[in-house]
Amino acid sequence: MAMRVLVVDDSGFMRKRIIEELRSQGHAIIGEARSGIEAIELYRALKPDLVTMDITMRDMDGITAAKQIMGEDPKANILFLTILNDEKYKTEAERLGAKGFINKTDTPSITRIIRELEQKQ
Amino acid sequence: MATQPASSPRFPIEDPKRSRGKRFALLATRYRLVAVFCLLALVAIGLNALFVAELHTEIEKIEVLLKTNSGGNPSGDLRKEIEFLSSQKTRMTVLLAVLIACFGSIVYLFYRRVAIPLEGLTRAARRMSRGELSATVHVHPKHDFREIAQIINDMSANFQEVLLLMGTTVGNSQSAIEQIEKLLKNGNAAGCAEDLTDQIQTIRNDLELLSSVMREFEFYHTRFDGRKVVPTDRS
Repeated sequence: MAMRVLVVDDSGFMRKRIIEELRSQGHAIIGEARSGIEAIELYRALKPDLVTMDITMRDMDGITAAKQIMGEDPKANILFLTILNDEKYKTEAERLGAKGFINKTDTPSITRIIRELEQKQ
Repeated sequence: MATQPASSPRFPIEDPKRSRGKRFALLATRYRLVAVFCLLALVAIGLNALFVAELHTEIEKIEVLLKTNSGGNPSGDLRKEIEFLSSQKTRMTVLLAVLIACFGSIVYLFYRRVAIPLEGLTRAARRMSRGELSATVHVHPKHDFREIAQIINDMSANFQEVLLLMGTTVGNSQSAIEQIEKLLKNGNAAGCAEDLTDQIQTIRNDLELLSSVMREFEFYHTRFDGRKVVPTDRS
């Protein structure tokens, strides 16, 4: 089953790469956000099956946005995609109940986690 | 497989190109109107000042003539005429003050809405050109230059992400090379062929990733074709 995905990243270049990868796997990109604030607004409006969330963003970072989204919808599927391999962020993401904390370039891991989520749905 | 939309919506959901074009057209019309208004205000101020000065001179001339001809004691009609001219002068002076206040307000608003944001944009762009990629421009929702501020911030985010990606990938490859060196120093290359292959594969993946990133850019009318930099087709 294809997933309806909301892609959150402040870099247009990275959003494009992530979107292309997800589309090539047959998923539908229902929205793009470039900050945590936009992500929260779009999550409320679109109710996606999955949110791919960057960590470092202007206005509001991904961890804060994820906290707010999970606060409003504890069943939200949030997958952190980042280039920073920081333990502090990783621990925080796990504590929040995120579906994963993966390097943006690690396509096989992204694919595996999304497949697992699809099977659970 | 789900139907894929032509483009992903960004909040608010609208055609970004069309709304951007509309916004720029509105902005241009607004500045044109402000420029025309400023020009008219300047002409009006000039004419008004000239008129007030002429009135003032006329009143003074009449008063001097009256003093010499009737000892400063004019007849009723003349007094009324002088009073009328004086009241006209007062009215024109008030109008001049209002016009100057309007013009001053426009100049002040222009400074607040155009000069200050432009200064911020220039400062941030200059810092970025010097390599301070974390420099940001505050995107004020009501500023006319929010679109440009957003574009500058986007460019900075892109640069940072690409550099971070390159740094991480290079670091990863360096670790793999160090592993290979260690394995080779042990002198048993045949015994650890599988480990060597894994590390070489890591480097290959990293290079492929860097190559794919490079292929997405176009620079100096050239592009990276995966092996070398070639000129772009400019036809």
